[in-house]
Amino acid sequence: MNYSDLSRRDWLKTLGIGAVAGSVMLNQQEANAETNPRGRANALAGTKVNGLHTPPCKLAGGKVVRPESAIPAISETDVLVVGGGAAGCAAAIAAARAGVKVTLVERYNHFGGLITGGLVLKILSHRAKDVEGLCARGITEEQLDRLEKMSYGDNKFGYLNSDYRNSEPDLDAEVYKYLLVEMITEENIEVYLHSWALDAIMDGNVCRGAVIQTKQGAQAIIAKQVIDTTGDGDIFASAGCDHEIRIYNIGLVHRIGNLDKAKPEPGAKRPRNLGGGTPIPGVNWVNMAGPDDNGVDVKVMTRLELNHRKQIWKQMQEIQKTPGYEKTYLVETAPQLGVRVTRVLTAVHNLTWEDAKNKKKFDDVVGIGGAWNGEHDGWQIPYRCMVPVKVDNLLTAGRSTASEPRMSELVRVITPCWVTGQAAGCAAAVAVQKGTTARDVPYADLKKLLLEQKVFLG
Amino acid sequence: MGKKSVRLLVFLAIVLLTIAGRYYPAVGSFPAVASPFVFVGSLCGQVNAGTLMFSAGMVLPLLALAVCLLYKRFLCRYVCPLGFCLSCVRSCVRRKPKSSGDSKKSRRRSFPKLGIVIALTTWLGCLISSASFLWLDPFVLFQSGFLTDMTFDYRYGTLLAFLLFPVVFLLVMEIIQPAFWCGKICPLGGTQDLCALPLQLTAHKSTNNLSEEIIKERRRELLLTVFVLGLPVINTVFYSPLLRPERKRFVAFRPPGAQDEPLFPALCTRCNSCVQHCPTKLLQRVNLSGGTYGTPVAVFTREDGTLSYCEKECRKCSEVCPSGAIRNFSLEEKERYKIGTAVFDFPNCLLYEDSECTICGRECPYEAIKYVWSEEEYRKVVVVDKKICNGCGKCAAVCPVCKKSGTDEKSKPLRIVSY
Ligand SMILES: Cc1cc2nc3c(=O)[nH]c(=O)nc-3n(C[C@H](O)[C@H](O)[C@H](O)COP(=O)(O)OP(=O)(O)OC[C@H]3O[C@@H](n4cnc5c(N)ncnc54)[C@H](O)[C@@H]3O)c2cc1C
Ligand code: SF4
Ligand code: SF4
Ligand code: SF4
Repeated sequence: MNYSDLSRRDWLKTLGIGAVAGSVMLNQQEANAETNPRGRANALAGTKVNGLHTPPCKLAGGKVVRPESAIPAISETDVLVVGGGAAGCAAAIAAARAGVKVTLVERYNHFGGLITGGLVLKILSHRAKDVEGLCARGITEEQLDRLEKMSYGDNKFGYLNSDYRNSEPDLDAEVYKYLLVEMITEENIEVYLHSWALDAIMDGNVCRGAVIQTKQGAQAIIAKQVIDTTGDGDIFASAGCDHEIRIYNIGLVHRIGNLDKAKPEPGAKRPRNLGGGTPIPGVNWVNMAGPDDNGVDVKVMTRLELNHRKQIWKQMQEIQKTPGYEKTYLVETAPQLGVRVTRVLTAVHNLTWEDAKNKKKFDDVVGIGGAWNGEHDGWQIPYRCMVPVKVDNLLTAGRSTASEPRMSELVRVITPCWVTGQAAGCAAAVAVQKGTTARDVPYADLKKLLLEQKVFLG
Repeated sequence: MGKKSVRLLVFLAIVLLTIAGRYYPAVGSFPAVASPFVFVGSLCGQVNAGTLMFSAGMVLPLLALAVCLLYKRFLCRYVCPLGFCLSCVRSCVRRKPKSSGDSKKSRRRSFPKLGIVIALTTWLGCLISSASFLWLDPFVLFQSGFLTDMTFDYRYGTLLAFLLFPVVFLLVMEIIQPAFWCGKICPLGGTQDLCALPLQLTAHKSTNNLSEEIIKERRRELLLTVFVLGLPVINTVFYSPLLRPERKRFVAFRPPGAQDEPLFPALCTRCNSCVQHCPTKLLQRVNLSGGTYGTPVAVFTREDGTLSYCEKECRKCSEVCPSGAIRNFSLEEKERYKIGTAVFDFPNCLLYEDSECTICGRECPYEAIKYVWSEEEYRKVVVVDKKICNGCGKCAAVCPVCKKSGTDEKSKPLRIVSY
C-alpha cells in the first residue's frame, strides 16, 4: 500500500489545527531567526523572547484527560530517526549519505545511547569465526577505525584499548560522544536534542512522524519515513505495532579510578568488582547485570536506580578497604540506567536462535551478526526483522529488532545495533527515493546501496 | 573353488564390511559380533550383571561355535581376517625347511598355548566384572585398526598389553615364529581349541601310557603356563572390583544410553565403532587399566585441553553399537539417558564479576540452564536444572571460561560430574 503523500498544509489540517498552527510555525521561525549558527542568542541576556508551553491537562470525572489541542510542527523531513543511540546514529548517517533529508531526535544531551550514557564500553560481536576481517563493516568499521585513529596530544594510549580486528575493544564514552557529533554534523543531519519523543503520528496505518516533548511542550516532526531506534520501541508501541514487552536484566554501570595507583599486597587476592580496563589509564568500567524486570515501568526503574546506587557504593567501599586499594575512587555512575531489552517488535520475520545456529540464508539479508566474542559463525540479519507486520513506513533497529528471547543476547549488543541501524537508514532512504512504502522497498536497490556503503552481506 | 579363493573372498568381504561400516554403521560391527570368544565373554558379563539379553545377532556366534565343534579351527581357516593377513606374511617369508632341530621344536611346542588360558581368564574376568582381554579378539583388533586410534596413556598391565600386541609386533613374531599368534596367543583360537577338546580327548584315549618324556614336557608346560599367566591373572584380579570396591564407583562417563556398570564393559565388544563414529570425538577408547580397558568413555576435556560434548540430535553410537552395551535409543529416549550432570561453580563464572555472558544458557540444547537472581550476590547466578540436564557437556564446551581453562578443571564454572 502507498503512503498518502500529503503536503504540509494537508497535514496541519489533518491534525485539525489549521490557521492556529500556521501562526505557531511563524512564531517558531522567528524564534529560530534569533539564534546564530554558533548556537548563541544574538540578543542580550535578559531580553524577552516568545515561547510555547504545554496547555494544561484537565481533571474530568476523576480522570486526567489531555485536551484536544493543536500541536505545532517544527520540521518536515524525509527520514525521521527517533533515538540517537548506536542504532539511531548509524541509521541517520546511512540515510543522509544516501542523499535524503534526515532528522534525528534524542532525549538526552548527547549521542550514543547506552554506550555513552549507559557507560557500556565494550564492543561485542563485530567478529565471527567464519568471516575473515570484521563481519560488520560499513559504519561499524568506519567508526572503529576513526576511534582508533583519534589521538589526544601525545596520549598514545589510543581510544580503543585493544586491537579491534582481533579482540573486543573498550572505548571511551567522551571520545565516542565527540566522534558521533563529528559524524552527524558532517552529514548535515537536522538534530533535536533534549527532545523526548512521545507519540507516533498516524495516517491510517501509515506512520507520518512523531510528536516530541520539549521544554516548550509538544511539537511535531512530519516525515515520509520513521525509524524507531529508541531501544524501547516508544514509537512503534504508540503507532500500534504488534510487539512484546520483555522482562530483562537491568543494571547500572560505573567507573572507578586510580587503579594505577593501587599497590596490591604480594600474593593477595584481587578484590572483586574491579571491572575491566578502559582507554583511560587507571580507570576501569564496572558492569552490572542486575535483576530481571520491566525496563519501561518508571516505578521499577526508580527502585532499581536507587538500589543499584547503594550496591555500587557498597562494592566501592569493599574495594577501598582492601589493602593497597585505598586510593581508588568512584569516578561516576552512568547517567543512564542500563536497560537492555524491553519492547521487541513483532516483525514480518522474528529472528530465532535456530536461524542463527543453522546460519539460515535470507533473500533480504542486510547485514551479518557476529559472535559475542568472535568464537562462533556469523548469522544473517534479514530486512524483514525490522518491518512491522501491519504499520507502514515505520522501521525499527537496534535492541528492539524482532527476535525471540533466546536471540536477545546476540541481537542487542552494540555491533548488531550498528548493523541494523545502518540497514534501516538505507532502507528508509530507498523508500523515499523510490516513492514506495518501507515494506515494499525493492531489495535490489537496497542491496546496491548497502554495498555502496561497504556493508558486508556475507 | 579352492580353499584359498574362499579365504580371499571372505577376507575381502570382511574388509568391505569394515569399510562400509564407516558409512553404514549398521553393518560395521558385524564381524565382532560373530566372534564366539566375544560372545561367551558377553554372556559371562551378563550373568555377572544378572541380566541376560538375547538378540538375533547371537545366531552368528552360536553358528560359528557349532561349526568349530565339527571342524577344528574352522574360523582360523576360513574366516579370521587377522589369520589371513598373518598367513600371507607367512607365505611371503619363505623359510628353508629346517633340519629337524628337535630341541628348538620341542621348545616351541612347549611354549604354552596361551590362547585357551587368555580366553578362560577373560571369561572368568567377565564373571567378576573385569573383562580384561576381550579386546584381544582378532575380529575386534582388525576392526579397530589394531588399536591404532588409542591415545597414549598406557599404564600398569595395559602398558605391557600395548607393547606386545600392535601390528608390528605381530608381523615380526610371525616372521620369527610362524603361527605364533594363531597358535599360541589368539583367544579366539583358544576358544576354538576348547571347542575341539572333546574331539581331542577321544583321540588321546587311544594312546595309553604316556612316556616319561612326555610327562616331563607336560609338567614344564604347566609351569610356564602358570608363570606367563601370572600376569594377566594378577592384572585381572588386581583391578577387579572384588578387591578394589572403589573401582565400582565409576569415574569416567559412558556414552549416552550405555548400560550400567558392570554390565557395560561386559557387553561391549571393544569394537571401537562408537569411537569411530562419534562426530564430536567425545567418545574415546579407555586406557584405564583393568576391567574397562578398550571400552569407550565420554571424554569432555581432552588431553590437549580442547573440550567436547555430545550432540543432542545425534544417536550414532547407539546406532553402531553391535552388542547392546549402548542401548538402541531414539532421539526422544535419549533425553532419559543421561551421561552425567553439569555442576556450576560461581566464582569462576564471568557473571561473578558481572560481565555480559549467558552463552551457556543460550547454547544448552535441553534448556536446563536458568539465570536466577541472588540478592546476596546482587547478580544473577547460573542454576542447572538437574532434572532436565542431560550431562551432554555443551554448556562447558561453549563457555568462554571453560575454553580458556583447558585441562584445569578447578577454574571452570561448569563441569560435568556423574549424576
Ligand atoms: C548494563 C549494560 C551492559 C551492556 N554490556 C554490553 C557489552 O559489554 N557489549 C555490548 O556490545 N553490548 C552491551 N550491552 C548492550 C548494548 O550496549 C545496547 O544494547 C546497545 O548499545 C543498544 O543500542 P540501541 O541504539 O539499540 O539503543 P540505545 O543505546 O538504548 O539507544 C536509544 C537512544 O534513544 C534515546 N531515546 C530513548 N527513548 C527516546 C524517546 N522517547 N525519545 C527520544 N529519544 C529516546 C535514548 O536516549 C538513546 O540515546 C549492554 C547493555 C547494558 C544496559
Ligand atoms: S550420541 Fe553423543 S556420544 Fe554418541 S556418537 Fe553422537 S555425539 Fe558421540
Ligand atoms: S546444562 Fe550443560 S550438560 Fe546439562 S544439558 Fe545443558 S548443556 Fe548439556
Ligand atoms: S558460559 Fe560460562 S561464563 Fe558464561 S554464564 Fe555460563 S558459566 Fe558463566
